[in-house]
Amino acid sequence: MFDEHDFDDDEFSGGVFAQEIDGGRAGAYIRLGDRGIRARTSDGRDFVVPYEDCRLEMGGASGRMLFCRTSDRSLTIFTEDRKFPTALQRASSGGLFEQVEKILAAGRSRHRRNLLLGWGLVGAVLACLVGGYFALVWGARAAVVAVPFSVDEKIGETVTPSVIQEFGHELKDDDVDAFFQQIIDKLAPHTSVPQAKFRILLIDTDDVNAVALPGGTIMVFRGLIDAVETPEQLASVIGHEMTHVTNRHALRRIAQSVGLIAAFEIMIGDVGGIIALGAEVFQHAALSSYSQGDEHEADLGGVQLLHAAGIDPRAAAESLQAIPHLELHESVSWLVSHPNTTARVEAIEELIASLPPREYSPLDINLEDLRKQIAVAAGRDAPAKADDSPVESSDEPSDAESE
Amino acid sequence: MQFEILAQPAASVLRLSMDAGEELTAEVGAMIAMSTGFTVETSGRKKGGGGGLMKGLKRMFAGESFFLNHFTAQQSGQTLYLGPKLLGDIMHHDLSGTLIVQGSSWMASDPGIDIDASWQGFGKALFSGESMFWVKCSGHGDLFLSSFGAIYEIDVDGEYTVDTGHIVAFEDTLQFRIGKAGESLIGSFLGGEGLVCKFSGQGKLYCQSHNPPSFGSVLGPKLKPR
Repeated sequence: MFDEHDFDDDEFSGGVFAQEIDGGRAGAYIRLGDRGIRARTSDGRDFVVPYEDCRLEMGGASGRMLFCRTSDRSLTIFTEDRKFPTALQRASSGGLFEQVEKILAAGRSRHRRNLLLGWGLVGAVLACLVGGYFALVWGARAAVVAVPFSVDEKIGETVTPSVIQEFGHELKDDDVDAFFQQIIDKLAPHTSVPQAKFRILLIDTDDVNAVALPGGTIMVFRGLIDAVETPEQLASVIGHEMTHVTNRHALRRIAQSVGLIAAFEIMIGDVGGIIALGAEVFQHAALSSYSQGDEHEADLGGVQLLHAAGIDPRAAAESLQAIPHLELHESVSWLVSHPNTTARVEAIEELIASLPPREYSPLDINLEDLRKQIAVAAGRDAPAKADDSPVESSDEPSDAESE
Repeated sequence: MQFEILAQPAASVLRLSMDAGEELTAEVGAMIAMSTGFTVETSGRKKGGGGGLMKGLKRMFAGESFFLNHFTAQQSGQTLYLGPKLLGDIMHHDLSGTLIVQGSSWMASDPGIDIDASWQGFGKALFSGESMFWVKCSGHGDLFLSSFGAIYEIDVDGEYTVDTGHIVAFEDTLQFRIGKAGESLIGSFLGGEGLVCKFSGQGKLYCQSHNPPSFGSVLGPKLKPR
């Protein structure tokens, strides 16, 4: 049709609409000539849309197809090749150049919009995932309120033997129990769960530690008795552990660890399932360490217990300062989850300052007598202790929820 | 290869006469009958390679099968009968370029034609009454599509409106958007048309006389529960 020279060597895949073609449409290869856009069909026919008579439109199924039409719409050449608009801009001038510029600007704007939409979608999905996770964790923790305290007690009963075995050997002595019972009798009436039955087990190990099991069993390690300076400091550690029990931190931790399953079982009232699952998770020491929030709650709860029981609550801060190795003995994961001693002491002192003034009386406990009684009990129990020595001698710190 | 479409449009059957070496790729389950001189190969890929797992999975999202059947005539004068799943029509399209086909309407094509799926966008996916993905057929050769009810062809040059669920296929030179049938949205719904597909551009559009969801909603309540 035209004696055309190519503007450049680029060839684009596309098609042509023309009445002369059977069916009105044919596939074609497109080149940019000196005078117009040239399409050559597979049967060798050439069609040209002159530059000065070219109207551009974007469309097609993808929205990215460029249609180059003559003004009377008798001939249309189209292509989806992304390089075509830029090449056409190079070859054109005047009005057509401006048309291409508008199309390229619209393309850039669409690209920016799609990019924004894409990132927005990614952000929304991430926000939903994170939000969903926290909603689940929060929901599972909130659902703990609906579970009867007897579930805590059953989990505690189930795990007690294996936790004792993990830490060493239990020293059983009625006289030692009597010392501990004095502290329990002082503090227990002031806890938030009056029906909780507390008992203290003495573990014969040098580790400076104390462990609260769900339901009311507290394990005090012999090393702790040796480390505290006053009976009030010992009471403060026990008060801290009692708060872990009454605030049900273990069950909360279990609910958080196995969120969905626990929440589901709580919802359908499958108490047996919660107990089995709870016992299993609790024994998995790494999962049982408390969060900083729980530790903070237990610190403050312990102070309030001491205050209510008429025991000087400053012992709580003193115990943390007096026995810094209480923390040093713990594992890395435990340290990570615990606020540092200074921050804990500051929080405790702040609470003490806000408490109403009252008279405090010292505990009628002689620490030396307690230590002697423990030594007597340990001596009487010596053969059993020797049997357990491989377990006891382990310096492996515990990850369990400990003071 | 010669073809004949029998019993149009209600219960169409495609009859193909193929010579030795001629091939056809068809939808899994489309074969009704065939003479003995064919080899049938089933794979998730296009004949001769190309595509693969991802394309197979995309086809599944578009309402087609993961697998494709490749029929190759080993002798001359072989006949192959293919039929659609639903009661309806079959059409032949001499493809030269790209045709966008609604999920499940692709029935068979020349092995050289690439069968891929393309995402139609959120708005269209939710409201077009079609699958989330379209089947995108590109290349050159014979393409056979099936429909529910009769197929009719429209040459669009400008704008054209089709009710949702009635699209069989359209050329890639056409663009469509979802819009309301009447002036107001409430009026559109009260008129029973609700949302429609509004095409613009130039190219061929193929529509079907019936749409499966509407048929299902009429038939469903009449069925006895099992």
